[in-house]
Amino acid sequence: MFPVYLLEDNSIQRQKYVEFIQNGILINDANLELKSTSDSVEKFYQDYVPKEQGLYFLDMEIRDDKFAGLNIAEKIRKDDPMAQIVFITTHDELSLTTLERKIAPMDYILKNKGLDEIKHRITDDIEMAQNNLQKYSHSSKNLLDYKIGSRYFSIMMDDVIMLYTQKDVPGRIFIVTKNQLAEFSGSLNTFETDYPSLFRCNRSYLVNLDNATTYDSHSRTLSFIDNSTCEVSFRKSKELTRLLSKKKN
Amino acid sequence: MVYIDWQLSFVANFFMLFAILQMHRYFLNSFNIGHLISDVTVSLIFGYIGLFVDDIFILLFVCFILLCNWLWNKGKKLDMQKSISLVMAANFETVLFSLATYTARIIFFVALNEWKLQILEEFQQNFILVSILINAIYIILFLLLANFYRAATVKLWIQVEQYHLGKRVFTMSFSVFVAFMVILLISDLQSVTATLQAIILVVFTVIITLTYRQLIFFVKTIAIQRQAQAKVIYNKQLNDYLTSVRQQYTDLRKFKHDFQNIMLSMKTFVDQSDSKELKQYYQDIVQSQAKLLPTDSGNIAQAQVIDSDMIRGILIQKFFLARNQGINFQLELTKDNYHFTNDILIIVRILGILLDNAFEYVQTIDEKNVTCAITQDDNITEITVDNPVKGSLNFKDFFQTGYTTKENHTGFGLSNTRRLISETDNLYLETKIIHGHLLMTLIIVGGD
Repeated sequence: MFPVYLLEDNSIQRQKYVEFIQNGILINDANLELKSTSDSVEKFYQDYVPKEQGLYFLDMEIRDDKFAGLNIAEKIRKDDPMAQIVFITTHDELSLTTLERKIAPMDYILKNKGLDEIKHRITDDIEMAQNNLQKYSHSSKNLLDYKIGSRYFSIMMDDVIMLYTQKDVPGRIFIVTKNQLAEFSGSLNTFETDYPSLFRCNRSYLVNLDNATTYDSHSRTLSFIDNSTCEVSFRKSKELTRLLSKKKN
Repeated sequence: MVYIDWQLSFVANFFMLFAILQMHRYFLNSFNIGHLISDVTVSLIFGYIGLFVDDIFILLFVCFILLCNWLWNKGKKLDMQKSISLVMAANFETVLFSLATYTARIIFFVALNEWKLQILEEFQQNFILVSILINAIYIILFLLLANFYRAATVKLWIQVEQYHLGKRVFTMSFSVFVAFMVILLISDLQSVTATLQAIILVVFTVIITLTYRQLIFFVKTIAIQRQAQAKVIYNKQLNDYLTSVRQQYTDLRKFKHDFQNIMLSMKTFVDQSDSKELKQYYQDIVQSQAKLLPTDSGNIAQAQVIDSDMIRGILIQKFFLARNQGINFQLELTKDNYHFTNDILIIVRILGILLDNAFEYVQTIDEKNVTCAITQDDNITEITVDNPVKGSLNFKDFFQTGYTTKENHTGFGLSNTRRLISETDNLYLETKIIHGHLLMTLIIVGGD
C-alpha cells in the first residue's frame, strides 16, 4: 500500500478533498490509502515518513505562508525523486515555471475551476500515480543521475535516448531524452560503467537501446524513437546486432 | 614704433572690426543685408575712433555691441549665444590680425633683406594692404577649419545650453579677450619692441588655444557629470515607482487569493441551499471571475529584487517589448534578492536570445504567454524561459546552425546561444518540453 498525503488549511475544502480521494481510490481499485490529512505544516511533518514512496496533494499557501507547499514539496522531492506530487491551489499562487523547475509535479489542480473539476482531476491523478508507483517500485536502477554544481538531477531511464559528447565542447556530456536536452560536465566512460544497460556505440555516443527503432547494418546507422540517429563504429556493429536480436526474442 | 598715415590706419581698423562682425555672423549663420549695413556703419564709426585711442578701440567696440545686445533684450539677460560668439570672434580676429601683421613684416624684411622698421614706414601703403590680404587668407583658412568642426561645435554648444554653462563660458572667453587687450595696450604705451611684442603675441596665441581646449574639456566633463546625476535621479524615481506598483500588485494578489478561496468554500453552502436565484448568482460570479479580477500586469515590478542592473534592465526592456506585441510576459521570482556576479554580459545576451525566440514563437500561436522564472540557491542560479508549444522538436538538431521551429526564420539565435555557453565553464543549458510548454533553462554555477 502506498500512502496518500493531503495538506489543506481550509476545513471545508479539506473535507471535500478527503471525500474525493477516498472515492478515487475506490473507483480505481488503487493500492493506495489516505494516510495523513493535515491543516498545517507541523502536522504534515508529524505524519511524514521520508523516502517512503507515495502520492501527495498539497495546497500552496498555508496560513499566510505563501511558499509552504513549495517548501514541503522541495523536501519530498529531495527525499524521493519518484514521489508523486500534485498541487491543489488558486491560480495566482502558482509560479508554474518555477514549480516545474524545482518540483516537476505530476499535476496542478486549479481551485477556481470548481469542485466537480477538482474531483475529476483527483480521480485521474490517483490512477496515474498508481501506475507510476507500481512501475518504478520493483527495479532500483531506473533513474539516471547527474550533477551540475551542487544540484542533483534525475532522469527516468525509460526516457533516456542517448548521451553524447562533442569535439568542440570537451568535458561536456549532452543527454537527449524523450522530452529534453540537457548538458553537464563529466565523462562518458563513467556513465558506461555505472549504467551497464546503456550501449556505447562509438567513442562519443552512449545510447539506450530500449528507445532505438531500427538499425541499418550497411550504413551502420542506428535510429531512435525521436528520429535522431547515430553512427555505430565498425568494431561495435556485430555486438549491436547480437544485442538487438536478443532483445527481439 | 611705426608711424602710419591715418587713412591707411583707418582702413586697417575698419577691416579688422568688419572681419570680427562677419566672423560673428558666420558663427551664428545669420547673414543678411540689414546686418551688413549696420556692420559697415558700426565698423566705420569705431574704425575712426580707433585712430585716437590705439588698440583699446576693439575692446570698446566689443563692449558697445554687448551693451546694444543687452539693451535690445530690454535689459533682461545677455543673449549668451550671441555674446560668446562675438567675444570669440574678437579673440580670434585680434590674434589672426596680429599674426598677419607680423607675417607681413617678415615678408617685407626678407624681400628687402633689411631688418629695420623704417622700411615699413616707407612702404606703408603696400605693407598695410599686404597685411590685410594675409589677414583675409588667415580668416578664410580659419573658417575652413571651423567649418570642419562645425558639427562638433554645435554639439558642444547644445551641451553648454543644456547644462546652463553659458555664463561661465562667456566669463572665461571675455577674460581672455580683456587680458589680450591689456597686453596690447601696455605694450603700446610702454613702447615695447616689436620682437618682444611678437613673442608675447605668439605665447598668448598658444595660451588661447589651450584655454579653449580646456574649455571644451570642461564642458564635456560637466555634461558627463550632469548626465550621471540625471541618471541617478531617474533610477531613483523608477525604483520608487516600481515599489509602489509592487505594493499594489501584492495587495491585489492577496485579495484575489482570498476571494477565490471564499468562493470555493461558499460552493458547499450554495449547493445545500434551495434558492435558485442564489445558485444562479453564484454561477454568474464564478463565470465572470476572470473579468472581475484583471490579470496582473504590475508583475514586472518584481524585477527590483534582481541586483544586477543589466539583467534587470533586459527583463524590463523585454517586458515593454512584449506588451507592444500583445504578449503576456510574466516574471516568476520567489526570493527577495537575486545576486549576480559572473558572466553577466553573456547571461544578458543569452537571456535576450531566449526571450526573443519565445516572443517570436508565441506570435505564431494563439496562447501568447511567455514566462521567465529565476530560482537561486546553493550556488546555483537557474533562469527559465517558458512558452507554450505545438508539436514536437528534434532536440539533437536543436542547436545546429539554422535550426528553427518557425518558418521564414534563420534560427541563428540558438546556435549563437550554444556558442556563448561553450565559451564559459559554468553555464549549462537545458531544453525541455513538458505539459505542452517549452522550457529553456540557463543554469549558472557559482558566483554567489
